[in-house]
Amino acid sequence: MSRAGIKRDQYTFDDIEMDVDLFSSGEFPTWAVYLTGSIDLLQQAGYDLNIIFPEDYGVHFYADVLITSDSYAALNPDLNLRFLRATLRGWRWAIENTDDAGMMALQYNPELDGKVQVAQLEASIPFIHTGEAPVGWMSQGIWRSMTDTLFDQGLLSIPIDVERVYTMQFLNDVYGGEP
Amino acid sequence: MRLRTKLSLLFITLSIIPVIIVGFLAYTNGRHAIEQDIINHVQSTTIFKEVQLKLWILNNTRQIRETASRAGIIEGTIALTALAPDGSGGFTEYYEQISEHLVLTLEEESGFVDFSILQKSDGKIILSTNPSLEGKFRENEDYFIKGLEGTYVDKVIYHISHGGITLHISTPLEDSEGRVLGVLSGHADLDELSDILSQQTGLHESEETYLVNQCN
Repeated sequence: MSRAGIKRDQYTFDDIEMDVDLFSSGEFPTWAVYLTGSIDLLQQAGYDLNIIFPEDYGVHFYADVLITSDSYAALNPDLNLRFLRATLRGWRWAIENTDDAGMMALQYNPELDGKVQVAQLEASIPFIHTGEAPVGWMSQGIWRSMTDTLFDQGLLSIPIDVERVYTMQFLNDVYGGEP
Repeated sequence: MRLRTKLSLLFITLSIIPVIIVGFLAYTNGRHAIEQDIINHVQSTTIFKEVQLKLWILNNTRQIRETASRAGIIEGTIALTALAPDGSGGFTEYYEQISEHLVLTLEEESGFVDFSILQKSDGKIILSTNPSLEGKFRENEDYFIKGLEGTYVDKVIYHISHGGITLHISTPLEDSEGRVLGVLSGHADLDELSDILSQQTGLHESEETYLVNQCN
């Protein structure tokens, strides 16, 4: 909001029910959604949406990352490397086989709609595989932006040395260095 | 077995074996020749397209550098970065002047589908021939960061908010004393890239060309 020139005293916070019907009914003119989720359903329902991407306003976040402790990584480097390599192979396979990968979700929850799962996976692909770098790659710029945002919003009490919170060691081992 | 039969079998064997050997050699030679022909064809096609791609990139970098060096663009950028974007102080006049200039360039020359001017301090797009991009920030993009230092050709990547594949070429906007004012970026026309890739030599009925990046 601040990057768009909107000051803190120009808006209010409201607790609202996470029910997208509140948006589709017109009760709320804007709504926060995952691009891989409700967007597709709303567009299929015929809504002409104006999508505001946080990334266009300086909000860069990695939504999902793999974490471990420093001590576990130090004691089990080979296990970490193999786990990461297997995970990345899984993502590559899912990108190349969206139909099969989407339907696999039903093995864990048979009540899911297979078509929706496949559609959500297809919508996820541009986030996983942009062509800019190998699947799973991370950039210091994004990490710095994340920590800066958290600090600016008061969620971190002190600035963090971004190089201490993530490592490229295992990705470098998987891909043989920076692309 | 009678001698006559034995001789018959011997002669048949002696006549078949050379045929088999000659046939095998002819098959392997033919196969090798076809493979070599395909390899030569792929190599010459690759060289041909590589030259065309380099020329296309070269023309686009030359065009954006030339555009960024025009006095009207530089003077307008100095004014835009100094004035408030609320329309006061002549901002609108400078904005329209640069916009018209850039739109005319797009119409007269091929290579780009839009131009944007990015603010030096934070990568904010302060002017674009695609107005939907204005007000957005590109501070983390390589074409902004490296475009502050010199002419830069980005990778061909999927851009989420563009909703498609993009290739940005950027160059610094500098005043007469070499001070960087911002970045001029151009969104290259990928239809032209597709045209280069889809051109066929006509030597084979089926020809498809794929442009594959280095990392995937």
